Amino acid sequence: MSTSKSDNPYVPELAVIEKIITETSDTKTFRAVFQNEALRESFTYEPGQFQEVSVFGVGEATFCLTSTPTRKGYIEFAVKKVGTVTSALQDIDEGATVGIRAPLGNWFPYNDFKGKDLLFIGGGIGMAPMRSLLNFCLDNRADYGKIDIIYGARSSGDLSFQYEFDDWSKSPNTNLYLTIDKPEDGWTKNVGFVPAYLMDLKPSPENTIAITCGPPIMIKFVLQNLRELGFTDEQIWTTLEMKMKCGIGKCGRCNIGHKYVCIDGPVFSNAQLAELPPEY
Amino acid sequence: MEAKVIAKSDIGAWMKGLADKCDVIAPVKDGDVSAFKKIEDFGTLSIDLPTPTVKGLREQFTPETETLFEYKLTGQQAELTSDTAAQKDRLIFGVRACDAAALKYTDAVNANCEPKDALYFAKRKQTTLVGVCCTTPAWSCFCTEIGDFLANPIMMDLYLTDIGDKYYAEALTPKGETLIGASQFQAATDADKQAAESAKQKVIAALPSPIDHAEKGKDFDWDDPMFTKLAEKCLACGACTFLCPTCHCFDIQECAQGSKGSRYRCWDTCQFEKFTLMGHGHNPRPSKNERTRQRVFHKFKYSPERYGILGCVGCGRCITACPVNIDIQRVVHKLEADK
Repeated sequence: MSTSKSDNPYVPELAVIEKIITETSDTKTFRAVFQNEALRESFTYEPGQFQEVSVFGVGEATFCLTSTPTRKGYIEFAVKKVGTVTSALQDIDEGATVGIRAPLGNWFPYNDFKGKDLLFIGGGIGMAPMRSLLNFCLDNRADYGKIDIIYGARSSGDLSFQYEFDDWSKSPNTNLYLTIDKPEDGWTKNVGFVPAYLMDLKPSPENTIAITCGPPIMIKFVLQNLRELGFTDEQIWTTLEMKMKCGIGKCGRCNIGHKYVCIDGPVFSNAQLAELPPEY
Repeated sequence: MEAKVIAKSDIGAWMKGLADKCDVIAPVKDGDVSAFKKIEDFGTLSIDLPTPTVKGLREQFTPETETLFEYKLTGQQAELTSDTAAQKDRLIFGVRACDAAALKYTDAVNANCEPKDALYFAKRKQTTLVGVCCTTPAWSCFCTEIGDFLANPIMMDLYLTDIGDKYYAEALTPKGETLIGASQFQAATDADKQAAESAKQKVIAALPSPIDHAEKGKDFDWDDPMFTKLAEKCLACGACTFLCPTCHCFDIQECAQGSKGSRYRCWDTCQFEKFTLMGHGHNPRPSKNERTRQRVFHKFKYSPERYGILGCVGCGRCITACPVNIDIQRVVHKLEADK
């Protein structure tokens, strides 16, 4: 039963790590470029999709595509050191070969978001999947109304993508609200948890889409507070994390009820999640 | 389609003829159990049909471990060297109706979304299936409760029914029609047809009556207190899922030594804690309570919702194998009564 590389869905495309950015003490962002030049040109994806990344000799793990498809020629993924593959990735150098199976999963329905205000609420590494949509919207700035970004982390050193904060906050009609858990010398922005900061800022739900991602405890209180502010379940979008292996709906571990996060997600509205059993 | 008969004494000669063109796999005694093996010696053919095989067909299409591709490593540089190897066509003889019916389910899973699982479908395409009607079901069998495939088999090419010193052989596909074109098959009489029908009805009468589990599964209670009790009993050994012909979950792992490595997949089970455990420690199914529910709900609720097919064929293997006597048939009946 010989299968060619093109129809064996578990064979990754080879890519070279072109650039590694140290984001925090335990998080790095990797920029990868496909070895196959034709693929480098033709490869495209949607904001919110994910990939399976191979570290040869160690294994494969699931990461969101944190780059935006509006910026061609490379893809990026941000990795927090938590397990075997993520630890191995912390140790590789620029120039290393990795394997990529992408793009996988669904994406944010950005066409439905057109003409609306967007409210991004991110915590820690949860900013990574939202960054794809955020930069996509900023690259198509005229399509969207006001963009507010609330981004928090434990400390200022735990905020990722700091090198883009200027681009984000200087984009027209765009505001970046940063917060950290505890006071620090020299920190002039907000201090406090993300859900509490959200209540201080009191964004209007009118014609607004809220997109949130972060640790489960943050999401729980962000959702409560968004509802209190008048956001409906249809106005709230998130992207879920689940243990995945195949990424293509076959290996059976990322189900929530009869839905598979890898093919029916990872992006869900709160209205969609309300119809699923509470097992995520 | 056409039906013929073949004398039991001619089975060996027929299979030997087939073996020129393909691998022939059949259930044979393997220690205390019966298992599908490649037949090498047709002279001393000892096919074990009365005993249900300890495992179904899962390993024939998704081996317990299967290499996905291989690679070469030089420092941090990698090069793919090969993916999967070619294999001969094969014929599997003595397949139970339940095990064949399970393929309808695993076909649906492997075609779940693009890309389809090409490794699985390459093996499916290269395999001819010759089924045999059960005449001596195991104590745990309840296939008739799930579907009517014992009387009306699906997903196989040829169906044999024991009618004394010969088998009544019904071709179900063009492949099956070609098979009964072999010289060992003779025309069937009306009496042969009636004998086959009464043999089938005799075994069906001894098995449970049909239940519309897919419909009843819609109303299962997520918080049914029974799962707390099941969780207390369950040892999380996974035997139920490893012997299940519809269970298909797998893990993907690495095997690397020095400059060579391979990616492989191996059977995995939702009954293991680490199945859904994430790197940072969160687990959406943290206890046996959630995991025993997952097995039953996946088969009787989620699968009908997703594929329109029950994820159980009533083969009873999980019931026979469970070391603490968890019986999925009774569990489902209880869930249906509790709703």
